Amino acid sequence: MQDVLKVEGLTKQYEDFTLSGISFSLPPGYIMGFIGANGAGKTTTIKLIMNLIDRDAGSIEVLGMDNIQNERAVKDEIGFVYDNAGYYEELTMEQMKNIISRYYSHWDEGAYKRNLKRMGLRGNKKISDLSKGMRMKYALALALSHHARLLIMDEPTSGLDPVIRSELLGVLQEAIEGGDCSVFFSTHITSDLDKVADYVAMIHDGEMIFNDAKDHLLENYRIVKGSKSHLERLAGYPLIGTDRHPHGFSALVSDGAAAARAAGEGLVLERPTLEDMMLYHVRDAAGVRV
Amino acid sequence: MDIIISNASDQPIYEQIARQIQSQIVRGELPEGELLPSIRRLAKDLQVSVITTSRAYEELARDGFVNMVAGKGCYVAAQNEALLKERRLKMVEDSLTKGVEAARDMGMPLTELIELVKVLYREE
Amino acid sequence: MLGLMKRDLLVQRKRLWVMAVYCLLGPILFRSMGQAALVVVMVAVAYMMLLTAFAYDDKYKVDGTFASLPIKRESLVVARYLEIPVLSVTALLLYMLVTGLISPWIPGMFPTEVLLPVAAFLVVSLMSGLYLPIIYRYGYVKARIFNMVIFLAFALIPTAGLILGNAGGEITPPSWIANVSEGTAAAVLFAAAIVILFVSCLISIRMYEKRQF
Repeated sequence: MQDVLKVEGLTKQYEDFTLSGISFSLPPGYIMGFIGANGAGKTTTIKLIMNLIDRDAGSIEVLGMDNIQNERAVKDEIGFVYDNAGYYEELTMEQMKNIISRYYSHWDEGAYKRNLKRMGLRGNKKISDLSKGMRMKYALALALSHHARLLIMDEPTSGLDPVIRSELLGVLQEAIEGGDCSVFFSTHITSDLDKVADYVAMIHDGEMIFNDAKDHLLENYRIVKGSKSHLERLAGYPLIGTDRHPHGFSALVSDGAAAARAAGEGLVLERPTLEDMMLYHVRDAAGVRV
Repeated sequence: MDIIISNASDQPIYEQIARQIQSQIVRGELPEGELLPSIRRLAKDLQVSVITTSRAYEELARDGFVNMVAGKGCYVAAQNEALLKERRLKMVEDSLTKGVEAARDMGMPLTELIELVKVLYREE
Repeated sequence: MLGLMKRDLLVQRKRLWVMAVYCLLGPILFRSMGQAALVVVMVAVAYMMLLTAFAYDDKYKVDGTFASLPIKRESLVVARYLEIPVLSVTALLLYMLVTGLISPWIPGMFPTEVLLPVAAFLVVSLMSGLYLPIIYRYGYVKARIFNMVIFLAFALIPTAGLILGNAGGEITPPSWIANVSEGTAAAVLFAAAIVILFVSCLISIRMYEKRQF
């Protein structure tokens, strides 16, 4: 089945930052989390997909179409939710919706009304009167009202409380329930993705660090904790983001069982969260640079 | 269908789901022909990823507990008596194996283990 | 296209009063200029309303939103250019309304020549024609410096002309203007305005299509 989103060798160079060789693909009906620290390149990647900026190299395909050559057709299939949505604050939700809806060929007014209701957005407020959370919900309502096959979200939950974040995840799971909508969700709040993401890709300093099915990552990677002697026995073993402290060490490994065998008895193994995955990799990258 | 997932457990979530559904099938709580929730519906209800529920169902299908019908969903397979009994036997065997290994690891003698089993069996 | 223009109308609706006020006060304050006041008012109102649209886009950061919609950047640009004649005509009509109403007290302001409004349109076209590509290329905020330059230029040149004229005698318009009929002159100026807008629009489209967000 054709991937909904396929990115290969994506490269973009700035003065002080370079995005290089980003590749990943998202099959239909799944949620992909795109994680990374602030400034790692998440927003840049999304801007490249939406053709808000030009790419230097690589390819971006949405439903098999090149995102530049078929720009309008591609965008017709994409619902977007950005952090800090740009809407005319003076207008009401209805007025803004009327401006936007006319450009989508599959706009579904019924779906829009249902979405608003589902998110608890009542009445017809002025956009300036919406709180940050309501604004995100409004953007989501719009994004889910034109039968989009790809939902792209750039840090939609930053600055929002856990309750709203949880609601959002529920909405996303509903969105993919039919199997014909996929979600691409960039965030540095990884707890959102721990449960519901199907695939996770991590970016750091413009480079792809890992890209895999979330279950596979969390089943195989382990945080290992042990004493100095364990560390000695693990010399030469691929440890990620090793943190040495006066009483021992901790590190991330891609194969917990293998590490346990190498280090011997007493090594503590813990299942990592996505946040742990991110932290250890970031620490690892920082260490290399030093 | 009751499914309780523990995020803290060492057991992968897809396995927890598969085992719990399996038990219910084996105990007869899920009758033959019963349509299980779609993988996406289940993922949403349990708040896990689609790949997870997908794997759980695949495991169940592989072990013969369910049949996946393209376009329709996942149905509880016919469990004939002998097969059911064999499966139940296997479940008991698996649990006992774990117990035996644990006992051996800590150096518990066989007689003590048998005593323990008797006590536990009589407990209601 | 129409939708985009309606959008600008909707977003700016509070500022429409300002437009009306300008048209009301303009003929009164500038009555010493006689018919020529029309040019000042028309240019000020049309140009100002046009730029306000860009100001609001920038203020609310909607460029990124529109660039993410399935809409050609070209359409966004063309819609703004189409607003130039629309705004000019609206300003003219308002002016005519006001001057007609106040004529019992302030006579002679009602536009009688077709040349003046067309000249005003040309001026608006020239000013926007120069300024808009810069906005599309650099963004509204960075472009504002150029706005100052353009505005001053258009304000200073006629003033300079008046000063020089008064110092050295009559300002003579180019000879061809005196020799052709008013209708023909108006047509020529109008055509010039259209050409300027058209060329500027093409440039703006190029600029905006290359714009990075």
